Amino acid sequence: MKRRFSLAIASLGVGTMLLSACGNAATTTEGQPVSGGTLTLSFKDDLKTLDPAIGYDTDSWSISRAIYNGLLAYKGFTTQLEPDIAAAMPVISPDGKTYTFKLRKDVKFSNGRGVTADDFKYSWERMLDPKTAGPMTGGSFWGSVHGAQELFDGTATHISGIKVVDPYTLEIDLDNPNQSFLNILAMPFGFVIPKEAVAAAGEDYAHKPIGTGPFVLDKWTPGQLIVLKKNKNYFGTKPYLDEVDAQIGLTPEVGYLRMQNNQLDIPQPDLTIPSAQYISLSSNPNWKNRILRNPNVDIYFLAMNVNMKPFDNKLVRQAFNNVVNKANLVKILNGRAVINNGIQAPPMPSYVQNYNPLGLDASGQNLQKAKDLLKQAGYDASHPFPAQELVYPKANADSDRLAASVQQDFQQVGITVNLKGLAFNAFLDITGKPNTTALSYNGWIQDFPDPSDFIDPILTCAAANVTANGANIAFYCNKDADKLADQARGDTNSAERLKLYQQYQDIVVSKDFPWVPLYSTVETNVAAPRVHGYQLHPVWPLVLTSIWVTGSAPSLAPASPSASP
Amino acid sequence: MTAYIIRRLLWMVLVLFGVSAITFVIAFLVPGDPARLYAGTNASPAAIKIIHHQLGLDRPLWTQFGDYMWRLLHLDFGFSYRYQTPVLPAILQRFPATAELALAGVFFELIIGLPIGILSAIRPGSFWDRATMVFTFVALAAPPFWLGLLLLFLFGVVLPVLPIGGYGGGAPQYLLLPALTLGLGGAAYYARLLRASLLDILKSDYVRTAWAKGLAERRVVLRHAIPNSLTVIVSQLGMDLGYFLAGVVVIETVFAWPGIGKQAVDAIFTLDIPLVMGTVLFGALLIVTANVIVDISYTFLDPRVRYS
Repeated sequence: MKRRFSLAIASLGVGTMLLSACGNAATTTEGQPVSGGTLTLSFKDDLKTLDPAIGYDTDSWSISRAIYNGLLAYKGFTTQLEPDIAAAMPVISPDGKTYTFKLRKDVKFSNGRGVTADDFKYSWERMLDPKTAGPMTGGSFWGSVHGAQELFDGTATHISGIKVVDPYTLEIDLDNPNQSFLNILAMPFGFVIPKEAVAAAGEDYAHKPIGTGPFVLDKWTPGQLIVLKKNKNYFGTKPYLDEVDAQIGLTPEVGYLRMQNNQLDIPQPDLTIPSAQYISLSSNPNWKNRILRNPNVDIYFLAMNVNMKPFDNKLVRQAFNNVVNKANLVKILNGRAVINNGIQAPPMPSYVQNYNPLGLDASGQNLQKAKDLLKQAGYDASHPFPAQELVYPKANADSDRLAASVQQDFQQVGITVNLKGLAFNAFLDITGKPNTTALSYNGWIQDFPDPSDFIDPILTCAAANVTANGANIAFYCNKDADKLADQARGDTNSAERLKLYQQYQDIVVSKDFPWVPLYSTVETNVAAPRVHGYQLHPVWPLVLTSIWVTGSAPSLAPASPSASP
Repeated sequence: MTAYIIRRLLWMVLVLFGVSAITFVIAFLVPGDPARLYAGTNASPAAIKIIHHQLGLDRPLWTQFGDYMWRLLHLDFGFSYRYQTPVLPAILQRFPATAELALAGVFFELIIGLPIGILSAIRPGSFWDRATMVFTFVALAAPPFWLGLLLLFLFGVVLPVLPIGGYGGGAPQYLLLPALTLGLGGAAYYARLLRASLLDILKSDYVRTAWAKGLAERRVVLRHAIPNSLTVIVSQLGMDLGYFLAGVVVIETVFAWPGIGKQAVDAIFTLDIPLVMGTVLFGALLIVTANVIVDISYTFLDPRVRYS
């Protein structure tokens, strides 16, 4: 539910995770909660949209999560799903293909009208309609809903698999069982919106959202300010805050400077603290203990295009898996990452602790093995390994240093790697096309916390069989592994499902080697001392309902020269 | 004169058409698929294909350009992918902030640059001249983002007398630092430009004649030399104003100033082609207009200039 490629575009944010890492604080909770007051945030860029059918970035989700609800939500700060607008968890048919939801009867939109099952059917059909041009159309996560394909093809105007049984009962039929479907329903694309608000706002609904959530949009001055106010019609526990002001356009430099001078509460809540500011804050005794850390559900890796020379040779791919000093990369990230030798992110149950099937050392290397494998592959002094180009997205100050570190590692085994840092759009363009990029530095961050999200979009044959805009940039395809993924996707036995995903991981990591897994990152954020209850969520970029503030709101006017809490 | 203005206006239309055509082609030469950035990086190839179609990006380039120009004739600048809003209102909504910054920036250019230039020129080689020339070197060499952050730190943190970035509805205390940062570089340039121009003029025959007539220094400089050196300043001023009004990206970014410059950069990075086109056209219109106004103003500043 976060962006991928955190090396890349900053405005898309970075995910967070509940489980605390490195022994640091996971929350700013202290004292008794008090109601009232205004929280101030900042975003570097203006929000794209508050239409949940369109937004697919963490800036938009930071705010839209506060305005809308879906059938299900994550319980507290965990990855466990619980009913939200649903009155209870759904009844699932024995074949795993039909989900029946009962809805709460006390839920109202902020315009005062009650929510019914028809609203969900409308919201989802609109969200999937090609005319809406949202990212879920055409297939993706919702493609298995029965009848969705007909809507995509234009042969139907409604989705037959979404049925309104009565005003408070909704039935969803899938073509195939999918154990991650409940997670999919909890994504913002599943949020409910009122038809009349869309009709009234027309193409400007993105700026005039109406939802059921704890806050309502009070004001949005493009490029300047977004103001949220408490929703008086909210059906859940009321938030502590009366108001949230999000200042638009503050760069991290300015945002953190403001926070340290009592002019801002939370700078860019959906982005990890940039390295320069992190070094400054973590060395300041007044701030270092206020930094929140939690593991991200992500994985960074070198992708080797299995269809392109020299990576069509499995021995070469295996050799590359023994070269990179992953510990150095973690150091460059200021220790805000952990070495990962697998394809699953540490906080997920499918992650295997200390996974190291290739017998790498503590740095993630085995240089002698790499040299031996390259020799077996036919490369030696008389047949030197051809120079390779490492393509990577230039996102921030760390990007070049990370790529340079990898470059130096390959020099140790006699391989010349030339660096090619690209703007994010160019990176996506050339890595998404088949037979275009042999070696790239890449990342993947969860859409939702389920192992399938780290396989289906980025490692399956279906994901490799594209002509452009692919996410399986190693173009890896193993039909036997695909069968395991298919089986796991529909398996209702959780333990058995995890075993299938672990088997899948073994095939990728120790038999086929399409990637060099590198590390998973740790999210860091910080808030001003007046902010309490601020906690990093495993899925959502920002949760406002747990936060309360004390003391007066930050003034945008000059403050006292204090640089400490 | 009227014929000249009409001719310039017709040229303006032609220039804007050329700018549109070139920008359109460049926008499509930039690597990357706008539909993918519109959809979100995790969107499936199938979704991106549909969005590609919905945005009309699967049509031939010339069809898209023709359609764009036709809509432009009806003042329809298209719909921004990035901001999910019509382009022209998006630009106009941010233009007042840019205009405010541009005018204040030019004000600082003049208020700082002109006195320095004049005083340096009338006392060449003096301590004042050398000191101000060092200032101009530094001001010209300092990157605006660095200078901006330095000023923010100095006046926002060390001496907390001004806010650390933001717009504040355009209040003077918010405007001061970005306008000063914008103006300092230009002031240094103006000072050097005016100094060089004045030094030349002060050596000319008619100035020598004025001295020979026994006129006071103040009168020689203010009445005879400065008016004749203004042409070069006005020319640069017009260009600066047009350029600033088209958006000052770095300053707007550092100071979180919600102008069209930052909006344009966001549009470029997200391949928001309609907004890129709209912003470039808007900027081009302002620059070309400023040029025409400058050219016309020459006739008032220098009676020798005549347009036919």
